[in-house]
Amino acid sequence: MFLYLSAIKYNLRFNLLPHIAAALGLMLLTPVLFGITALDAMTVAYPLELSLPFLGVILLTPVYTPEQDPGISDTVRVRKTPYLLICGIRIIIALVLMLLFICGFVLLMAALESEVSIAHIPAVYANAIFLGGLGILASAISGHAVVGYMIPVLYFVMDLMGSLGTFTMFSMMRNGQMNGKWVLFVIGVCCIAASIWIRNIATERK
Amino acid sequence: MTLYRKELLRVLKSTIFFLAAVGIILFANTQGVFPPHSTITKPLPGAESYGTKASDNPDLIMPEAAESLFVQYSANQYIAYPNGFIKYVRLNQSDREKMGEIIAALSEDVISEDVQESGDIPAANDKTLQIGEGSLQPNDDGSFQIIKSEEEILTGFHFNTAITWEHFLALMVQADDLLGGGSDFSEKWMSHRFGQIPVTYDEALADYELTVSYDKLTGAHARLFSDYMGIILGLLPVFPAVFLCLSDRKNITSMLYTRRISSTRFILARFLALLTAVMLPVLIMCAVLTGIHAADYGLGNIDILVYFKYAFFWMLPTAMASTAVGLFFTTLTNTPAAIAVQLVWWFVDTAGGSGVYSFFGVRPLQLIPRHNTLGETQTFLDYLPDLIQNRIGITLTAVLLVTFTIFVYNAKRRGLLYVSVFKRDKVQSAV
Repeated sequence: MFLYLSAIKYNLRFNLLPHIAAALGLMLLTPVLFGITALDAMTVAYPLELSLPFLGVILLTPVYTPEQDPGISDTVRVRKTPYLLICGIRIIIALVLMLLFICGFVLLMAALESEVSIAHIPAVYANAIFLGGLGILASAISGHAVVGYMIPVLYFVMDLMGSLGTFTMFSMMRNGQMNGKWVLFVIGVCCIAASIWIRNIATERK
Repeated sequence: MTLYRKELLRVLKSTIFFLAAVGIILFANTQGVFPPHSTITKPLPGAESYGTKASDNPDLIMPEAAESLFVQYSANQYIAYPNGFIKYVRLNQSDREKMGEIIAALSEDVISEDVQESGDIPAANDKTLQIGEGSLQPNDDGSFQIIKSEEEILTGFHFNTAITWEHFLALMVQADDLLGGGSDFSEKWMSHRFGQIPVTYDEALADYELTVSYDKLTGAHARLFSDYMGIILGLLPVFPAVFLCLSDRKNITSMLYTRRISSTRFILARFLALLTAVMLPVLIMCAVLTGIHAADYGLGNIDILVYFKYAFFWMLPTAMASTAVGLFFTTLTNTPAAIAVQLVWWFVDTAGGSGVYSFFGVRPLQLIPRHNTLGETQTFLDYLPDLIQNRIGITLTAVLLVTFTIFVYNAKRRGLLYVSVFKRDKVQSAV
């Protein structure tokens, strides 16, 4: 137990702080870009679908970044603590933080008289996990976080400029539907699981 | 030259360049410009519609705009697009009173102070309250709320037809200022929002003839291609730039710092190599598209160089700016912060300031000029001087950023500019 707490503490201290700062920056920028006061049921989708999914990219994509330096990677491999356990802890922290940020933002919108409901939280969370899942998988495969940032951004742009059907992230904005979000959630979770598997193979091969 | 060649090879061999090139081509394909999904055809007389266009007809604009302002004033909920995306604006009491004065100036009726303060709709002369079917909506607490339709609201407003166009514009400028800009009531946007009129056959034919004579057909296609390519080139080039700089940090920074080569030569070679790499897929697409159009319209009817002219004049400055942002912020911070910076710039820019620029025309320092249609050559000629100024401005911005990058890189080589917050590369996970 002490080991896990220690891992969480060091992860927060050395890895996550700049990413949490970036996530907070996104949360501050969103009201400036879109406005979050007194939005009706249709227009709440704009900040929720255009901005908040990037929380996933910011918090999940850099999970494997510290060990993408070969020297650090070698050091981690000779440690007794399983590397994948540490990655798992980092992913869980990122997922919990994402949920907290999204809940906080939706509550803030509700307090500012926007027509949001509890159902918006899982819908936005699914988008964030999907985009973050694409990022973490691309980062695990390529071994570089920048590729991990590029793939979700590319997907976002393609979807924004022309709908990607069942796999669109903007169903609330376009037709007020949240039905298809579970598909994105499942794909996002699968991407995260696949990234762990790929990192495992990469670590064992060395 | 050797350094440029080496940097170019490094970029071309990287995974990120491959993915970026695939992304650029895929984007062009999904937007229907590679291969082109439409051709330019001569308009036929007697067609049902030739489209619509914005007009500056005061008789059309004034009553509609005034009524729209009154409806929004009544609900104290105004629609604005300050950053391109819809934003609902509510005015505080003092601003509401100012808006009430504007409404009063636009109206034949005098709106009482009570109405201005409460925002209630002036009732019609009858004393009884008649509620139409479906107008009474139950609230959660058991009370009822009267829902008024736009027509019912407008019974309390009669536009003052004696008002002059100049006075009307002055009032609308005040209204737009109160709303923080980007509302439906700015002069340029009003003609698009409230002044739409049908295009006639003669106008459609004149536009076609201009497209044939001035654009030689391919010019119109090249503009639409540039419009979409600008969107992707305003964002993707930042990734290879960040990737290349961060790869240095991992392995060879200290070695690079001690080499005899000047910072200027090194950064310029890197910048040009990145630029060449990101423009490569675009130039290949330009060549293929020229071939396709030669087959469609005949080689003699098209301008075979026009795609390349647009690539250098329209698209290159956008790619330069995006690459320069990547180089500068990554060199300065040693982090991928440039991606966030470019994403915000791209987001605000594509969303488009106030409405019309999202699809046509160009603002000063707009990263991505828009021309989201096939044809409309006269519109292009109208904003061409602004476009030239804009492209020069964006190129200068990119040059400025590259110059700053050289200074920063030089300072770092001398051991300066090591700010603790950016030294995270020396702190690694302790677990």
